[in-house]
Amino acid sequence: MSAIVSLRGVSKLFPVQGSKRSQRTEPVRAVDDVTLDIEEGTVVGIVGYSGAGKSTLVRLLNGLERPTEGQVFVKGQDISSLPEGQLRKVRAGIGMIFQQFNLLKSRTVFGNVAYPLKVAGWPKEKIKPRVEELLEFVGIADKAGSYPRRLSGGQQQRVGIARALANAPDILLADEATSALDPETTRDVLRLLRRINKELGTTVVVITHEMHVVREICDTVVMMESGRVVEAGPTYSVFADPQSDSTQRFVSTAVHGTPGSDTVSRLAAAHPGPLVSIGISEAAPTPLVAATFERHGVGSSVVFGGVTEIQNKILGTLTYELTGSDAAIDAALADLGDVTAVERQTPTADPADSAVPHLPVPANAGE
Amino acid sequence: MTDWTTLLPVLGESFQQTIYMVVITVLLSGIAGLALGVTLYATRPGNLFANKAVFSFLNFLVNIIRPIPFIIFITAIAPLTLIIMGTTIGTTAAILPMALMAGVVIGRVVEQNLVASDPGVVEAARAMGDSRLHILWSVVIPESLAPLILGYTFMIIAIVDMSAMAGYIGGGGLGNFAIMYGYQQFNWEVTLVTVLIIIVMVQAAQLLGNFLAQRILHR
Repeated sequence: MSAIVSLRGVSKLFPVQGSKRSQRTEPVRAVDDVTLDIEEGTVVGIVGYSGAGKSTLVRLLNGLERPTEGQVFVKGQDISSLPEGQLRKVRAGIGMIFQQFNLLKSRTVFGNVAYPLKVAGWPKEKIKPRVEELLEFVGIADKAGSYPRRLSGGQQQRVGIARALANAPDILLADEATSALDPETTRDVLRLLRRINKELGTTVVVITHEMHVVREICDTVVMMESGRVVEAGPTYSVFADPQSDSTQRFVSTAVHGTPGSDTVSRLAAAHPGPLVSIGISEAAPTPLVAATFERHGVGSSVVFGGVTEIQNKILGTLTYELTGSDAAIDAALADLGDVTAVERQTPTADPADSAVPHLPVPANAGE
Repeated sequence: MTDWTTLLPVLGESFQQTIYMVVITVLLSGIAGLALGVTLYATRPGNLFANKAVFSFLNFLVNIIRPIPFIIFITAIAPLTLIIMGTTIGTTAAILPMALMAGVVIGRVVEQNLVASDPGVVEAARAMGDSRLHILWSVVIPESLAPLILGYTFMIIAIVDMSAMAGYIGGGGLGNFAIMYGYQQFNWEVTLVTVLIIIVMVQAAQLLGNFLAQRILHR
């Protein structure tokens, strides 16, 4: 595999706008010194909170934005300083879909999908079969004559995808493509993106703030914060072993299972035995955990947890209530501690206390 | 008692003059205003052909011409009218100030409707590799067609209004008729009939505009 898109030291600065009284004179660094390779044929997730610079980054990939510093290579060609005319040819080979779909409301579904073909100069008699083929592929062949406003969000995004695929691009950019859709439609659209990647070999770059989108379809993930790439790697390793704080927070939104302090208190009230949370992963799958407890003569039962699979590999956290001698438990946990995360859970506060927060009384309330 | 047998042919001629002034002005100012409005939109900072110098100049031009009361504008540009049309009196001469003022106002109306349109579709078209000029013509304008039609309807009515004022300074038409045979001869009946004719014209234009805009909006 080789890189289809490469960024080398790319920064994008936007001049400060707004009031002249503003103290800030430095331009905003939306993208800050990013070096990145996107491998051909993969699904890559670019993740971050809003304002992290991911939308700017994706627009650098198809030349909708030009880098202030650094170089962007698409299929080996440096596009950072191409004139507009040649840039248009590069863009035509890169599909893009959007959060708000951005369909032409003045044209039918057919007209929308035909538009990029007309722009690319396809002869009329070839446009019709191509559009029909695309609509068939995304599963809305019956809607060809409808106007976009008559369609549901999921259907509109399918039109957007068909339109983005019209010129058989090697790269498909999805800018928050599922953020405006309900969970079920999101799943359908993600499945479609996966199919595009598998059947057509298209490299898919997914911009999202939703970690479950990454879990569902991405091979690799790039974590952004304040314009910088803070973490990048295969999805499973990033999920299993997140390095930065923001990645950890993101991962916890998609992989549940670690009990919060309130939950620990409730669990401790219901289960008298010691409570231990064990990280479940490739290195420490559930059979291994069970076997370890058994070997040391420790009884265990799961009282809390969540396990999911990412890229066909298991990942999650399970909390066990253990029974057995302290020495046996210590030995079992020491063994497990060599291969995975082990955390003894002890309640920190009475749940009844934490459930009703005390209102702070201002000290100088009388004044 | 009003002598309609002698007045009717004059009224008919005035009606034709008004239609002539309005139709020619709408055509000229409609095209010029569309070009001006699209240019204002496109050269606006951050848009397809962002150009501060061009935008500021055109913006300034529109802002100084638009507030001039039309009746004063006609007399103010009379020397220009004389050079271009060869005369400052008559129906044809009235068309120049009407087309200029209407063109400027239409330019602003067009610009405002385009600015309100969704920038997302422009970005989508750019992402497909479409050229900027082609985007203006086949994305920006069609996407705003319904509000543009309503804007033009509004302007046709404003031009009917202008034509009445042009009449006062020698342009002929229904405005001239109402003043000459109605106001100046204290004949309220003639004024009323002329007003009714203008109301019917305006209503017809408004209904047609609404109908077209509704058809486009409801697809």
